[in-house]
Amino acid sequence: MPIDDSCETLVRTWAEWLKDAPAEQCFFVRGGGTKLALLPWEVSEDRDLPIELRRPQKDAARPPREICTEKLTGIIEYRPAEFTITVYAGTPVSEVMAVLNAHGQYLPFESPFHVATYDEFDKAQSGRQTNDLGNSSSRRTQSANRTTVGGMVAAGINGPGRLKHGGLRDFILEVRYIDGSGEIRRGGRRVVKNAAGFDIPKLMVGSCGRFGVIVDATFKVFPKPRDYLTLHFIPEQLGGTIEIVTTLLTHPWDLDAIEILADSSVLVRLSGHSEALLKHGQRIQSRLSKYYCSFLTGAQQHQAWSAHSDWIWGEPNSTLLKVPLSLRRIFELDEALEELDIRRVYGSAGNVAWLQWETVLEQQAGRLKRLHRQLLELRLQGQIVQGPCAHHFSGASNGRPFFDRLKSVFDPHGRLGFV
Amino acid sequence: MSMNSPTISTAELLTKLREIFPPERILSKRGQLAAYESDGLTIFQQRPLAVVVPLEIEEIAATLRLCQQYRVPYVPRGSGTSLSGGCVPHAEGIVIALHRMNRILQVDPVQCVAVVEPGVINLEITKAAAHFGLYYAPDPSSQQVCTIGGNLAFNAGGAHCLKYGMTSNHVLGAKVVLPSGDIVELGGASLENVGPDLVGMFVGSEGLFGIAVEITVRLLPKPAAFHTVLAGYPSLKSAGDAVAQIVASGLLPGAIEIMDSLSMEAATRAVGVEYPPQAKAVLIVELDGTTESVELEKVQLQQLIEASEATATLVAANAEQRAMIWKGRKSAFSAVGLISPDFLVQDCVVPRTKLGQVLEEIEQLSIESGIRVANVFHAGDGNLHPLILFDGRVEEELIRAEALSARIITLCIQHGGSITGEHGVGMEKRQFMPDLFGNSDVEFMRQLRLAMDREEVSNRGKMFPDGEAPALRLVGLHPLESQGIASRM
Repeated sequence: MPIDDSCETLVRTWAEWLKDAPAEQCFFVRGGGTKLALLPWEVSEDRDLPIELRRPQKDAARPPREICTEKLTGIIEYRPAEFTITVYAGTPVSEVMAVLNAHGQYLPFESPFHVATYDEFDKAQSGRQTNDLGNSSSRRTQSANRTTVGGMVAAGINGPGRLKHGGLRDFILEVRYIDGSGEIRRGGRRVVKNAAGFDIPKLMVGSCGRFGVIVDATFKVFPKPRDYLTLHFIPEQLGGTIEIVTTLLTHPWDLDAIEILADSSVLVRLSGHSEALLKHGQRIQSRLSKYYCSFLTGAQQHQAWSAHSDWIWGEPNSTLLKVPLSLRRIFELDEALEELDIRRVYGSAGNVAWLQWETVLEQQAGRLKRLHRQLLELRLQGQIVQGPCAHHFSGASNGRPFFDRLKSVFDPHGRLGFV
Repeated sequence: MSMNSPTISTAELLTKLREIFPPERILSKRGQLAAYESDGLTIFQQRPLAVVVPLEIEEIAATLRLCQQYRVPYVPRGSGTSLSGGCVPHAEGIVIALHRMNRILQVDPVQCVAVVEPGVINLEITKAAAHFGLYYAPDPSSQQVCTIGGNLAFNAGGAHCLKYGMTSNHVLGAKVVLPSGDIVELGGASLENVGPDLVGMFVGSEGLFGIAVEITVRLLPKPAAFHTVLAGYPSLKSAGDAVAQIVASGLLPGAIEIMDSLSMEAATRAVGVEYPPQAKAVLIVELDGTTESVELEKVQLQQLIEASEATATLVAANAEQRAMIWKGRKSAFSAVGLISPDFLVQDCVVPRTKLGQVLEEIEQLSIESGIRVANVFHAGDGNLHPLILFDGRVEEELIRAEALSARIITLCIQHGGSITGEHGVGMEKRQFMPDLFGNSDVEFMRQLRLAMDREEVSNRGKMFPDGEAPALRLVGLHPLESQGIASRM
């Protein structure tokens, strides 16, 4: 598909805004608005936030100006034989997934806002479904459909598929963006391999809009696995969970995903030829025979993964904190959180903790403060993805001098993102 | 002396360096410096003022502070295998040789990571991890000698990038010394991260953002099974067509490589690998994964190859045969030295579907220029390695070879590709950066570099087209100089 004129007009308009606005004027990008923690408090649903949960403003008299990408949509170029797709930033992730799915391809990091793996199943089912794990698989449907490609990149959040093939950072090839001075720029290249120039596309992943307004992005895509099989291990204690995951990681089993659920049970996903999966699963089960294990296929499998995703993303009145971690440190974090009444699951074989609690405005600032202290003590970092907060990064802050020097070029007046 | 010249004399510089390093780790005699005058791209040569050999991070930080203070250019160097002139020294600068910072600090089989110093040889990581059934995936052809620090700086690739990605996809964290001497930690041991991917931005910055002094890499479980097939074809195009069919089938092989007849001839002479007689090209396809999946996929692959124009097929029956196929492939670069007195290794990328067309156009350019070109490439990701064969003793043949090389790079840009897939820009390709990115974006990248290094002392002369050229040609004027692209100091 060629470049869309109306989209390009929008892009030029925003570039002019940034060029013409005074240095004090801040901007923020709103895609689908699915990650309210990443938006300024002025546009979040609750305008009566306690003062300590409001975002600091660069200039109190000059509220940040919104750049809304909801009309910046469309697939610019899709070349299935090249394994690449280029899309405008405001395109819903669900649309991209549907187009890829039609060609037997997908984004392997699995944006958690859309469970691409089970598209066909989603289409076959309608309405709400209550699954075996007691959750509903439709609560996040609306949010998932609104999540945009730009928001996905800016938030830098991966799903369970991160474990095997890599994360969003590993699949973004090129990005077009407007820098803080209003210049339309491009970084990377639309080919699956490139070593020329600085890797600006990777920098944009997780940047929360602080380096530029993403206009479009190109991704590497992969052929979608033919089939999946999920093994559900249920150990009695967290120690058993860690042993299961350790065993899984140290064998050449080519696993698609390993997720530790809130009850310490473990979801293990295999992918490939249907004929091979059962045999493969049995081999894994036999190696871990001291733990109870059930095989999930079809609807059961779909429901288990949807419930897991819903647990993380499906609670509208909750606060969600992402904490990068390692399997060895799960006990440490668990112990530190014991008194804080925080629910958690561990994704990608313990490489990320999702901490969640019901948002009570009066308690929120105190809880965030305690958590920040705990993370600092553990030398961990966290990012608030949902829920009210004054600062969406928490805990240790690594790489600050490097960040600041980059920021001084991408956005010399500090107008993008939050101060 | 240029505007950017050091503000310190050589004697004073050596005195200052002696405050950081013991005498035995400062090399400044002519004979000691000879080995550091060039890298894998030998057409660029330059003797530095001195070489320092750090063993500790603080020694590097102190050296970088010194260089920044007195505007002394420095070049970090591992094994010096760069094929883009990435670690060619500067005449007024020093080399920071990192080869003795070669400790593997940690192999964590549970987290599946290794923490290593920059001077660790790529293959040594896999050897250290093998005990745990793990390996380090990026495998540049020079993996037996190249260092991980250099791999990180130039975002090295290898034969398995389509499925497994490049170095940047396997570096999770790094402790780095910025050109200011500040030590910062980027990323970590986790697969996940919060905030912008700073380590991703650092990887591939060609030493312009500083030096990585501790690197955390991801290790993968060694696949349980491999299935390696070598198939002969009557033409490069028919081999390329087979690649398209394999990719379209939904298979995701670990590697898809193509060698042409000149490359085969060279590899046969170098390491004794035999290829199907009369084949004008061979395709190497490797499946990897679980035993069950490879068993099924190999049937599918066999059907695809049978349906192609393959004239002969060899399936590696054991690990030795697999190793031999790869030995032939990985020796191809150096092996062409047996069929040509001199050669240039090119590295560029085209969209995979343009492979056949671009190869035909390269062949035409070769005929027009009277310079032979051997082709060996990572077909799965469109990464071409035309080997431009010439005889430097023949008057102006190097100049014609360079001109052909430039035309090939331009061709790849015109087809929507890139000027480098895995060797980096270095000195060799800096003049093509504006063609690839446009002047404005190249200038923007230069501003990023200046934000990190206001004096431009870190690996000066690399990546950006208008930088000083620190290198000289062996005899007479270098072709790049004659074209006004490079200049002598």
